[in-house]
Amino acid sequence: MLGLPHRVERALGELLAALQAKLEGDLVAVLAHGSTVRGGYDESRSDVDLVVVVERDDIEHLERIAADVVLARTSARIVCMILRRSEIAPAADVFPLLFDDLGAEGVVLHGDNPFSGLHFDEEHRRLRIEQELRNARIRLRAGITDASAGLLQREALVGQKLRQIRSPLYALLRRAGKPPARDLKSVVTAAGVHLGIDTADLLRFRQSPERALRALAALLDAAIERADDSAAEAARSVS
Amino acid sequence: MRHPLDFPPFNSPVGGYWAVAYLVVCLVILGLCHLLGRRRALRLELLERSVEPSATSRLGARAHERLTIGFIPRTDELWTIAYLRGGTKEVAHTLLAVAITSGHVIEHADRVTGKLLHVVIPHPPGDALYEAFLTAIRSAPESAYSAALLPAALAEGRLRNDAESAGLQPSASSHRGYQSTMYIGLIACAILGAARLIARAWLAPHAPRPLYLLGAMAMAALALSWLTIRPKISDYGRKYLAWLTDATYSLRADVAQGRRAGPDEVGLAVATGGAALLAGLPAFFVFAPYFLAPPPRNSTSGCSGGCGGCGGCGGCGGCS
Repeated sequence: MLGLPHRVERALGELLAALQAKLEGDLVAVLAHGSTVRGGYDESRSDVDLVVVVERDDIEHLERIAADVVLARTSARIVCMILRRSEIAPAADVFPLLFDDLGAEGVVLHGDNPFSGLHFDEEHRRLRIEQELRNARIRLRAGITDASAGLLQREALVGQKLRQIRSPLYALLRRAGKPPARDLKSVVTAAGVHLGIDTADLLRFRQSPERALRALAALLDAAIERADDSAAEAARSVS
Repeated sequence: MRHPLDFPPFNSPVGGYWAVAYLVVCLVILGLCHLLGRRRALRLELLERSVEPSATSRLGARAHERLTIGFIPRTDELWTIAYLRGGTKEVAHTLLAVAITSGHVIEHADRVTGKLLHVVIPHPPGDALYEAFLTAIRSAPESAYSAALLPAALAEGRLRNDAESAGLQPSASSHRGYQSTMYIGLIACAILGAARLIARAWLAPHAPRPLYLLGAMAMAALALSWLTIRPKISDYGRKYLAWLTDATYSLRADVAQGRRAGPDEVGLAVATGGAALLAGLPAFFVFAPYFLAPPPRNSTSGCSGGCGGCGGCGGCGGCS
């Protein structure tokens, strides 16, 4: 289906069959996104991200599929985000990056892609970029304190944050008219070049997590400043 | 006059090879009976259980089905799974893992003695075994591990009943079904052996005693008695545990890596995979003290517990 390991493919097939059997006509679409379709999937740590679009999301419908959704997560790290079809268009203003990704690279496993053809306001997109970057920066501080207390490994922290900021960095580069390939390495390298930050240590975070952490903080600060600057530029051009 | 058993293989010449052939035939018979008996026991287990989920029953299923293939177990099912896997010790490990990750039990240094004690903090009520564990900690705060072992041991009968009623351990009737099939095999082996002994006594009355054959018959009887010991886990139980191991494959890896730390998730991972998977956590040092048994109290004098303020019992100048 997605070229994943046999065990994961089997679990994915069982989940899809269960969703189709139990939701019947209420199942609108199932899409895979993230590293499973973009590349960089690692069986030992990557989630298989699915978006399940349903017609109705009342509690009875969700209870019907609960056992299968939980089983998919515990057995093969298949994580389902359940969306109601009618909420997709109204939510495009607050989730422009995710929905844009889903429309562009989501692999349809069932039904049609309800995210293709959505319209995204550029200011909503900028706000979301800034929000996601600032959120990552705040959480990075908490992560650093946890890592210093020995509650978290530094390399795990950097790896997790890098995956989180791939999407806003890509969107930032696209806004600047320099969209790279969508994989993590290309996005981080291009962002480093665009923002004038050396990302070599960042991409070798397993070898030198300490230096990677500093590079990550610098990259985030520069990206936030750029996202904020573009708002100021837009305001100036309007006035 | 021709003896009624004067035909092959019973009239074969005297020698050890008959005993070897007999043993092989007996093992084949017992093996076949074992397979048939297991099938019969499994059928009886499923009939008693009657909750093996069919495609149609699960189609619109809402309710969670306890200890059933297809349903990830909830917290109150974890103790039974842990017990099935490794007895009361595994139950204690699971209780500890749930209590620590839910924050219901924390470490606290005693102001007077400076000793680390385990303290129960206010929490929503859990099931009976969990509450018994927390009560045990309140009365013996020095070691959460010892406090977990006691209620786990006291609950053993209840856990065994729970496992049996869920079909995870063989019930008395399903085991009787298996045993009766095995006894048919035993009777067949005994008839074969007895026939040879009778024929041999008639045809070769002066031959030496049939020690090899008697030895082979004893071995067949031993094999049967070993096979008819009531197993700890039923066939359905083995299937269930195998399914659960597969169904929690990613969860156990995530817990071991510290990616998931919720009490239900950690409890399930420990119940199915053992407490050893917590050893890889970056924060294992937080968990480790809870899993330590208290040091043995080997003092036989009347001053036990009276040396706390001296930095050890050795240098106090005696307790007398």
